[in-house]
Amino acid sequence: MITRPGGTLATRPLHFIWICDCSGSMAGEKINQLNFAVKEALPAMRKEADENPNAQVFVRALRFSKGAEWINSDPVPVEQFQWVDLSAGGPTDMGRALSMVADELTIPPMTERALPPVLVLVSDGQPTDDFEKGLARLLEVPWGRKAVRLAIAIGKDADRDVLAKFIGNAEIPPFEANNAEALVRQVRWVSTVVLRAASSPASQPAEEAPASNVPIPEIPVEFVAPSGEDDVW
Amino acid sequence: MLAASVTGAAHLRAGKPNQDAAASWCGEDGTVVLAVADGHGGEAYSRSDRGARFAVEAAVGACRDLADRLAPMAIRDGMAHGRLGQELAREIVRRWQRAVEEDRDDEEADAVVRARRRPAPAGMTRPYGTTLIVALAVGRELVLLLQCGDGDVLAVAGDGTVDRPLPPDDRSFGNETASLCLPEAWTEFRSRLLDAGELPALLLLATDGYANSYAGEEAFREVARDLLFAVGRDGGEAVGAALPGWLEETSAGGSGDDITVGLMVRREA
Repeated sequence: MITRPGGTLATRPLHFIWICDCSGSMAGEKINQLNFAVKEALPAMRKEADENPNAQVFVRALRFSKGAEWINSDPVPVEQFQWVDLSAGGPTDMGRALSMVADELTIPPMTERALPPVLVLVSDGQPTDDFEKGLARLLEVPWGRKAVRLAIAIGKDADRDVLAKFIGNAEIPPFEANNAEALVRQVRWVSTVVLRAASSPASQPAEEAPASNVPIPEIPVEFVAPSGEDDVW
Repeated sequence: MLAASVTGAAHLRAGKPNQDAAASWCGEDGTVVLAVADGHGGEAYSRSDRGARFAVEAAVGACRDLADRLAPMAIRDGMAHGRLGQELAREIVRRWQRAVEEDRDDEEADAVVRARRRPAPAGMTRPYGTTLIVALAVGRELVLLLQCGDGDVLAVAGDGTVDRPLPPDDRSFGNETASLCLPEAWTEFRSRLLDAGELPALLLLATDGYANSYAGEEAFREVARDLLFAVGRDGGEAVGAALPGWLEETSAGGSGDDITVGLMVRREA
């Protein structure tokens, strides 16, 4: 019998990165609810990843306040990923966080054959460092430009202009999380629906200025236009 | 010449058809044409399985006509002056557009386009969007290669050295690719003439689901080397019979994508 040509087969890596604002204004209920929401969504995220054996999902989290630091220094397979509760305090060095994400999205350590990474930026405030410089650094990197970039604005003080610049797609506004329940729903949606879309994306023709490398499913209207009745933050 | 196309494991799970296609032609004078195509898939490219089939048919037809019309020396001269590659690309696109035009149903195609949240499309060929790779071999004298979009062309020399004969594609990254459905798609083609002294022992044309099933470039080049070895040891017929099963196994354990492969093996003189 003739054996299959080539060596070991490899599924395509999909990197999912939480970029979390841990500044002083996040202290208390906001950071507690963010910790709860991500942990609550993890089983559904693992199940979603399990349903596509041709993608290997890796999860990581980066916190930023004074400076930024990786909670997991290396990508962790989603089936082994455990959320480490974040605490809050300090300024909002969002630009530094984006620069650090850019460093991880260069090739190598990334490969050209990866699936588009998913970057989710969660913030309740305004950057206190050079956000534009960090964003420019992220967008210099091919996988930074081609990543699925989403943002959750926690409360009314979040800088929506900054988050919209991070997303870079006029059709996808920042999600509005003005209470704990909305935050939980949005975190779960990006952990599952967006993950599914990113893990088996169809090809698409390169265009002059592609808005997104992955067609994002229709965003629930209450994520971007909440009624305001239940606003707490 | 060998070719096989299999539905990807992810497509089988989702109940989607194979959106790749392959076609080949072998003339009595030793002229050979091989083409593979990868329809984009996805909601906005709902007819890309047909688009891929039209693409390989258009490529085979245009290459046959070219080989009938021009002697190898004229093909060589045309490529040397930089015009023949684009002329052939233009002819392939024209034939593809005509096939699409005959196939499409205006109402349904309009609905598909309206459903998208992107800016207005360049044309109604979009639901049929596909990549294309073509190889035209004229006797033992030359091989003309053309490629629009992603996918891989590997040339294996008799000593096992593997090269990529076409220049790299700046447009294809992540899941974005050049496509026959883009405006002036003929300008998106890359081309290369391999002359008599450069002809490889094996030429591999593959849609991107194949390379994406391996961790990196070297692992994928090993596939091409192994294929040349297998053809030499077991013969083309045995390899051709085994190829679909290998590709199914590769998709299941790798990218999950459809995989289509065409192989041109040089006969020893």
